[in-house]
Amino acid sequence: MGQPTPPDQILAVPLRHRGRWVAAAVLLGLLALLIRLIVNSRFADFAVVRQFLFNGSILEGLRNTLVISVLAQIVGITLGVICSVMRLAKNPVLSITSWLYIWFFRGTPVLVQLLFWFNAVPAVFKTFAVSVPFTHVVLYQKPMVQFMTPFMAALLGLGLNEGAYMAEIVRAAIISVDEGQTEAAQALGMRAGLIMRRVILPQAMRVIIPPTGNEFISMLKTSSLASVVLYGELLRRANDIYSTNLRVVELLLDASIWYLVLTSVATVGQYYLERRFARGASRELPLTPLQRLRRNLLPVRAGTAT
Amino acid sequence: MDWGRVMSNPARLGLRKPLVALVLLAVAAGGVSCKSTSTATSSPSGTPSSATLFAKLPAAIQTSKEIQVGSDVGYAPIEFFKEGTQQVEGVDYDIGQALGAKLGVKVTFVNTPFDGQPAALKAKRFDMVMSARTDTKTRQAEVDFVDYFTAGTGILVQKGNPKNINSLDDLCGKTVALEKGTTQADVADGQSTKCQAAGKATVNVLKLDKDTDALQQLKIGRSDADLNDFPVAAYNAKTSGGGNDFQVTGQQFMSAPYGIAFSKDNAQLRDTVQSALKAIIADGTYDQILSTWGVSAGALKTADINGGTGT
Repeated sequence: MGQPTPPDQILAVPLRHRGRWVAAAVLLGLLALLIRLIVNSRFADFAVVRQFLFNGSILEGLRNTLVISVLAQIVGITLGVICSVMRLAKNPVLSITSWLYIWFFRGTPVLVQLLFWFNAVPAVFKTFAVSVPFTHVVLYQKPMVQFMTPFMAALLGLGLNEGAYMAEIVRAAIISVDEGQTEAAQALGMRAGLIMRRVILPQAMRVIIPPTGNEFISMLKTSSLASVVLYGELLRRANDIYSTNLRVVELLLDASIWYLVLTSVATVGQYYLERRFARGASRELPLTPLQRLRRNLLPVRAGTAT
Repeated sequence: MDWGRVMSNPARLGLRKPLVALVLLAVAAGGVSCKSTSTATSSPSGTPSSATLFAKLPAAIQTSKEIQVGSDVGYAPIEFFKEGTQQVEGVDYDIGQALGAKLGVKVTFVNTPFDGQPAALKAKRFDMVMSARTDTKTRQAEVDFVDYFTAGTGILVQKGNPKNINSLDDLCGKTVALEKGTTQADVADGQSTKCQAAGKATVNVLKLDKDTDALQQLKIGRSDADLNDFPVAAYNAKTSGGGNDFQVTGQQFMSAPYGIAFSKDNAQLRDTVQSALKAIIADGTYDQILSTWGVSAGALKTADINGGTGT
């Protein structure tokens, strides 16, 4: 009896996925045809598109879009959290008031709300004044037309509308946290406010982030509605330029390119933010596109794993 | 030749071939009963009849028997919606209908934002534009105009003129709301530059989508003045809020013609409409329309092509 011969090296041939290659080739071919069609159709003068892409006025508009989107989203999130907590309160006055707020600001179009703040409010209320209640001490006073600037109208209109939607998102997230958490916290003797702040809301964050990220991306584009109240955001700036040089398609392309850039950055940001909040939830997080790309492109090192 | 006897018996022409006689009869019949869909009665001698004008229209319009007109409806009394309806009314609408009657076609108004009209005209969204559009040298680079009315700019302020504005120079440091894409927008921008050059504060120009939005800003006090065409300013001063909202200040200035705008490649329609316009000026329909709306001061005696000289 001699030494047992080692088994033959198994010839492992990777499974051929010919169908995938064919499908990929067909799609790439169609994509190339589409791009060629667009470029050849000359529906826009791309020299003009390039001319205005980094125009000072357009970049200012881009900055203003970002500013109003971020601020309106912050206002929305703050109002949303307060409102949803009120909604879930035992006090019926609180819950009904917040329900009315959600009902009204979700039930009317954003455009109407913007026009309302900009045109109707100054027509009815002539002065904006902040004073100490029950006294005549006026802390701040301004004629309403001066207070209700395009920026203020945009902030109020977009922010309050967003607050109503955020309230529902936060409410969904709060009720998604297992009831057992509340019971355990109560058993430990924590008061309702403490439970909400330290137990419920931190766990609810994981469920709040994806729809909130979605809302922010949506807000980046909904901010274009602020152009009707003359707020100098991206669409209004593009509009102002093409109303002089009549290059409608080119300027709208410029605006669209910048909106795409903004939403793409926000989408990537949201992805990584979600991963951070999902750290405790799954044993091993799936690979990010970057990690997958690196793994697929670099050669597989054979025989090192045991 | 006794045509009466010939008509009753074409054989009297001496032609033996009945076919020729039949053809002659048909031609004679066609010449006598002038088939046209227009409601105009006999036109004064020298002006073309509806049938000849119709024949001069582009073939596509002869087939569809309709001219589409782009117009920014919201500029009383030139074009506006009858209150609570989608029915267009106004000076432009009535002139449009009179032109349609003269040409033997239906005229339909398509509501289009003012600053989007040149692009839409080029895209053949409609056949021509009648929207109180001033004929200027700059605009003539894009479109051709048939001038049909003349109007200057008027300054509209709140009733009582609280900011004491009487001329363009008083606008330095003030806020003006107006419709974007109009000649008045250029005037306001120009005035702002002039103010700056003179060392005064610039004019804060708010460019709104429609003139009615600009009027709203004036009403609530966000702006101190609105620059629009004089007949429009006068109409708004008279009617808005029962006449208590606005007043016109100063004289009208920078008179320039309104033109019906045509795409540069549509010269046939342009010339035919010009002939029709000349016809309604000649037969008095034009003057009648203007006096109905109280804007006879803007009447033109001729219909020039690209007669505007301003910028």
